Amino acid sequence: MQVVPTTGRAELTPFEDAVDRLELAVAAPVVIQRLLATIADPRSSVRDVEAVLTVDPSLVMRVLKLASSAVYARRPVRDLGGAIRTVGLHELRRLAVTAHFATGKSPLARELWAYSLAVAFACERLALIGRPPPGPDLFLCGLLHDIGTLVLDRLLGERYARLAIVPGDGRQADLERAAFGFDHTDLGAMAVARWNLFPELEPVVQLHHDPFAADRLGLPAASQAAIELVALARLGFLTTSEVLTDGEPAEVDLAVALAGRRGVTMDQACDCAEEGRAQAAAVLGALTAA
Amino acid sequence: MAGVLIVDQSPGLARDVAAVCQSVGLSVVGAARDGLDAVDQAMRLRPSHLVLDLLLPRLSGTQLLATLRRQGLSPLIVVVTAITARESILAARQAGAHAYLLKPLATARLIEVLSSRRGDVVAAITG
Repeated sequence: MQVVPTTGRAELTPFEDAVDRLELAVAAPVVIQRLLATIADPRSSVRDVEAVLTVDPSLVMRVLKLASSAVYARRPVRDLGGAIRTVGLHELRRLAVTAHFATGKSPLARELWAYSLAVAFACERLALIGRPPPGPDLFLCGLLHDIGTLVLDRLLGERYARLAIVPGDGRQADLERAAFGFDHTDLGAMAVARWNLFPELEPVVQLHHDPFAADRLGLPAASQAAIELVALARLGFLTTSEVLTDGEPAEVDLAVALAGRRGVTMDQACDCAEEGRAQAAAVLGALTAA
Repeated sequence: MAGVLIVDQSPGLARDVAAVCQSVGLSVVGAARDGLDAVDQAMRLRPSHLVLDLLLPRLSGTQLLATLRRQGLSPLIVVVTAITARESILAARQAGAHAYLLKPLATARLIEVLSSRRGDVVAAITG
């Protein structure tokens, strides 16, 4: 390693500055990183999974609340072993990621997770119809695709609130880019790349507003399908939203094109969005219940 | 095509890099301010050299390098970035980076790197 005296400008671009402060805004989800790695390791036992989670008792409490809810067990689940027996490791992973991230009391945080959970459940349902090639967990791709919104909210506070962002809105990235020179997809992609949760997540986070850009990147088919299904679930959510009824023509065209590519009708996409929205409300209700 | 594609969000840095390139006899064939534009330009121009930041909007520099590799492009890669993390340096090296320079840019070092031959040792330089 050579050390050379420096010359020239030292100022950071706004994006470099935001990335520099990223970890001050949202700490790396260490327990979730360990949990995903442990569950992905075929040598791991149920006890290993329990050991990872029990270092965070408040997370365990939220996982048990979710596992006991009407969406999952429909009966009280008292400990992690019971949760794993009831929902299985695959579902436990989703519960834990949901319980870790889908918190926050600000109006934007509540809207963000209601939207993101709806997209996550809609992705699962769309996959049953469109049958993408085996790949990443589409629920987690849907749940975390807009993580950059959370990061921007935490990082910029009042400056971000002034944009009056509505999660999922097609104009969101343009508004952010005009205000800050970068958007939630850029910062979110940088965050998940650092967290290293699973490799397919970064392109989903980066390209969910621009899914056909994935064509130019030569990504594997499963990765491309994940980007397109998340984008379609987002557009289905908007199409069926009471808040955003004046859909941009370009967004409608994008939704129709994506649905056609994934072998899904727009009616099916809207049905999946409605069902996703109902499941998301149930999960958030369980998380916030006393 | 013999020439350099410069990829950086900062116009000032891009100008500095262009000036260095010209001083060593390399022509600048393109400049991009985000990762997706860089992919498009690289596919079209097939530059011999790529000088890029890793912190890019619309596609990170790391994803850009992975894309070029998937598409069969292998320019001489010089990273100029503010990221100091060891993992980032290793990832750039694995992606085929010839040199990894930290911002603020040491122009003398960039001249040296651009004048060197492909296959020379990867240089990681701290500011």
